[in-house]
Amino acid sequence: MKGVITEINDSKSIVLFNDGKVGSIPTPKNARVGTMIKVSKSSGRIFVFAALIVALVVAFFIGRSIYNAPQGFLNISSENIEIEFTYNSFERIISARPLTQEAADFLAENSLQHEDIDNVFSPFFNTENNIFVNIADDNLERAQEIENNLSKLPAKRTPQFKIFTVELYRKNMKAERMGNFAPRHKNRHGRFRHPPF
Amino acid sequence: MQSGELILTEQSGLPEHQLSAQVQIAKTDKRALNILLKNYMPFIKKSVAKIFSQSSVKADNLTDAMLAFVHSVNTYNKENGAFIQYAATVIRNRLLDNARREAAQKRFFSFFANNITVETFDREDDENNLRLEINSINGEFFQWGFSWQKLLKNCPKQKRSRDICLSIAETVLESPELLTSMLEKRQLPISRLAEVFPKKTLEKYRQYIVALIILSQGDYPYINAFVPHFFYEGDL
Repeated sequence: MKGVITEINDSKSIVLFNDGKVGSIPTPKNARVGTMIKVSKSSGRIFVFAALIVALVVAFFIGRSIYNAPQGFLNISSENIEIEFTYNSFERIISARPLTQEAADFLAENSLQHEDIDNVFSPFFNTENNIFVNIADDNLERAQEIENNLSKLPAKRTPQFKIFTVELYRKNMKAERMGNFAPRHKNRHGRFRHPPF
Repeated sequence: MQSGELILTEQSGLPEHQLSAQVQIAKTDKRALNILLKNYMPFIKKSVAKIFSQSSVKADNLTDAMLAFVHSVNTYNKENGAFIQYAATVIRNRLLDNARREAAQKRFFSFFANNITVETFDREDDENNLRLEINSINGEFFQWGFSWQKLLKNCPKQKRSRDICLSIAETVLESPELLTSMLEKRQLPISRLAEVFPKKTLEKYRQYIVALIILSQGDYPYINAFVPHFFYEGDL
């Protein structure tokens, strides 16, 4: 939209635009009465662009917090390795806490973060040790679904592969007996572990 | 009666020798220039339509074309050939030049650039003439009791309201009786116009309507390039 400056008052100038509007603009540099100007609509674009950036940043942080929100715990115990995995709503590992020194060495060699729950067991299947799994989730249906999926995994050369699922109550952290799982006992670290076989 | 008034008519498409004579008169007579501009508006619009097809940019291009036409009147001499061909070339060159400069500016990422650009290239003559006309207009506004500052507050913000004010101004301009009455009494004939237009609009935007009439009926060919009554969007 084009216009001509008709009056200059300090920092503002009055402009007659060619659509009949009489408006005011910040006085351009070296402008005088009679100077012709053109006003584009780029200022609107700036706000749209800024709003888009803000929306992307907010979406990133929201997505990140959703991804990193813990939904349940997967405790794997095999020989001297005992690890507590935390997984999210997408059934991906978001953290792994070694409960023994051997577990710490194991995690140093095998990075399992962001892996799917099914893929977590691969390093354990190539051993001849028993594997015990505790699943604790506040959504029992999801925990049982995970259990079903894990049961279908091939257990190569593993004599015993047992899965125990519990429904986790976030408020008081109590576990209930469901199906054929064994009662939980605390190990020397004060953590729940599988019963001795 | 001045010689200029004997020759000038409301019709365009005059024989070349008559047109050349009119152009020579218009070089020094602002009223003659204004009449020439008004008569050849269809030619100017056609020149714009030949180059641009998008209706959204035509208002800006028509302003440029009108200024280019006035520039061609001031710079024309018989050695340039027929005036119409000369004016068409000047208008075409100005429009294409502006389009090229705007396209060059848009090549750079301009989101954060200032959205106000000053048209300075080769416009010194136009700006000088605009300045002279604005000074003259300021004197007329003073006689009517308002200024650009008051118009800034009184101007309708909505396009629809401005279009209604434009229609009112055109009604007065096309009626010699209304125009004469207004110029003699120095006030808008609201009671008569209220028979056709909303009285609320007439009273609210009285100063703006009067300003449109002053700019249109006065000898301001350069300022007329910025007054929308000279063209309708529907014609573009």
